Amino acid sequence: MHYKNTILRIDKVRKVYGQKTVVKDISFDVYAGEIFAIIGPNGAGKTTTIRMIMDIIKPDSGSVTILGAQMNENAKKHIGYLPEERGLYKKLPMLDTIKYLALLKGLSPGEAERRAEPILKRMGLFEHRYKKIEELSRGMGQFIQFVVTIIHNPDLIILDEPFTGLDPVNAELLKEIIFDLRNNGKAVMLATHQMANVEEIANRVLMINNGEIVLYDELTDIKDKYAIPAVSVQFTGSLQNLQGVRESKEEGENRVRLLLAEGYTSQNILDQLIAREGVVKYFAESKPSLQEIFIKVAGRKTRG
Amino acid sequence: MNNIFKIAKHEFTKVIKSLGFIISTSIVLIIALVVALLMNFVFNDNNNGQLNQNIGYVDQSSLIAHGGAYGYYEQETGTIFAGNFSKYDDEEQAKRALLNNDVQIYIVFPADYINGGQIVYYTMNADLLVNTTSLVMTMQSFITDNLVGSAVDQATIDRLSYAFDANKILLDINGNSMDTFQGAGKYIAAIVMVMLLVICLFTASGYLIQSLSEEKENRIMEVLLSSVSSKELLYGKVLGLGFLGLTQVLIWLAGAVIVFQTLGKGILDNILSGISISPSFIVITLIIFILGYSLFAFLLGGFSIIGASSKESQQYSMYFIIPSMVPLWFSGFIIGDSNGTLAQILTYFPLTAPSTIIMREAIGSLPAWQLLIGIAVLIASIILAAWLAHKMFRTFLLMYGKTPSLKEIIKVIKET
Repeated sequence: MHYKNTILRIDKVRKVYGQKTVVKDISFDVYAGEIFAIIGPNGAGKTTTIRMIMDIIKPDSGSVTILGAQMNENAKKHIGYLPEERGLYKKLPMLDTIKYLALLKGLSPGEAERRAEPILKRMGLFEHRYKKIEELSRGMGQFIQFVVTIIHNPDLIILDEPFTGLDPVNAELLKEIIFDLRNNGKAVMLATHQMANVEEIANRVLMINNGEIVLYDELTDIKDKYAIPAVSVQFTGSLQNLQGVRESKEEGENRVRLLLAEGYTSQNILDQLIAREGVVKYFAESKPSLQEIFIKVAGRKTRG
Repeated sequence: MNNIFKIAKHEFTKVIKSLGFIISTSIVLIIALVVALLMNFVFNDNNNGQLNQNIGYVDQSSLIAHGGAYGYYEQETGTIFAGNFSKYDDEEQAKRALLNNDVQIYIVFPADYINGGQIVYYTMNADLLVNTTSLVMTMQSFITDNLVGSAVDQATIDRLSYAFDANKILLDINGNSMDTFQGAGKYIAAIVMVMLLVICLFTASGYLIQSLSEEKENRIMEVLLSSVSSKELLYGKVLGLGFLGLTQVLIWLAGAVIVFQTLGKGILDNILSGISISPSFIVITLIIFILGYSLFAFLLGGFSIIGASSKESQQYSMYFIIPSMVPLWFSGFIIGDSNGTLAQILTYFPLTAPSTIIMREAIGSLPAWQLLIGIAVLIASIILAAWLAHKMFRTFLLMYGKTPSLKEIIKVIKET
């Protein structure tokens, strides 16, 4: 994938709290028209990095550049930010909440209402617009926060743990909207420890652990780089004593992941299965999950 | 700056429409209503429809026709206020009569009364310097009836009786003028103004702490910080909720005036008639109100953010609100020795300066240079408080569910 416009540039940003360096000179770019994911375990430094981007926390060194200019209060209008620690005024009606938060982003109440309408309708929230926040479900509240994040049509959308608290249906809807934003040329940056979601939607990935970058590349390139010969199989017969299988792991959905020994291919395994008694219900080359790659890379770094 | 006003407006409208605000505002008005009704009842009950005062007078102008006359005034309540006027040859005799309780008040008509039009009256009862409407009307009635008709034309009689001008002096039990007191009206004005400042501080700071705690507990802070700076957020809240506190106090004042005027049958008139408030006093009071609130609001905003809950934040706020009340506790000393060391120290100490300045200004004992130093101290303190508050606010506003240690707080203060 080729990206042209750099929306966000982070250059050697560092943050120290007391004796602990929570972000260690990290650098990366986020481009227009991509979904960029920062992944890492809790406490890795994701949220601190985002807060430095948003100028909520001042970095001890390094620089943050938005659309070519140094980050400042004025640049916030180019960013839509959904924080991990998010809430709303419980006693305030939904539409008033949206209008007020949009007002702080420079939109008039009328313009905010006009812009919110189609998004609320898509999310099935329009008929609830006069209800107080405390009368809505947690998922609805999360969608309202998302509406406020994008209502001012920002160039960069930063979502910190956006899928937390959403049921599968709403999580899918959110993914659809994120894809639409990317397709409309927006730069979407999301931070999460839920790596499965990232695998589904991200174009590029930055993996951090203990405040350090451990991986930074296209998702497909990372997967190729850390790929190990393996197949994912659902077979009604026995998988015992297959030649060329050095290890097997349960994957869920009645599938088993078979790691191949050197010199063997997926075709060798498929041929053996066909020759056995039973039905091959699923067979595919298996790539390592981000979680597996993370464990491999982070574990190596920690040990190293 | 624009965002500060947006936040201020939001905070103001959000709270003013809330049930809590409506209830708390109404309760005070209901209390005022009950008090007015009680006062009305007690006033009528005590007077049994007739209130008599023995009043002495010394006529140095030779314009009063004869002694022993009566002045008479019927209140709206139906109570009759009657003054039994006795003439004394000189002030010594009149004062003796006052000390012997033969009269409750004595008036001196000076030699140039016909030109100056001002009388002086003396009493040992501070209430007669405050509740003066009936007394004044009685005196007017007496003057109108007893000025020497042949020597004084009707226009002069009208001028002297209607443009009533009296210098009121309170005497102590030894008959000495309480010079430093300068009238009970001013004393009441001083206490009322300081009480208003403290109430305003309590009210506005309560809303400020509630707003900050709510946003912190509901995790709204970071959402807001994605659009505005922490400084705009803090300053917007201070402005909006300060204005709200002032509005609530004004509603209470206006409500109290209406209630007392309609139900108290002029009780408030009687009280206010003893108070002379100059325009400069109003301006200075307003300035001190704004400076005092700004100082406390920044301190409370900055320090209440460290509380993990609204209850904890309220406790921190007490450390600042209590010093503002110190001048009230020492009001006797400040008024008794209004230029003394204690009064001066409290004038220059930032947390006690607003109350002390207002109190001393009300009793007219604050030299201009001390006022200027007090204001300068307040302005310098506000700048420092705003700076420190922002530092605290920025550092601790995203610290959820945990109170920073004293060491962490001191570190921030040191860095500032």
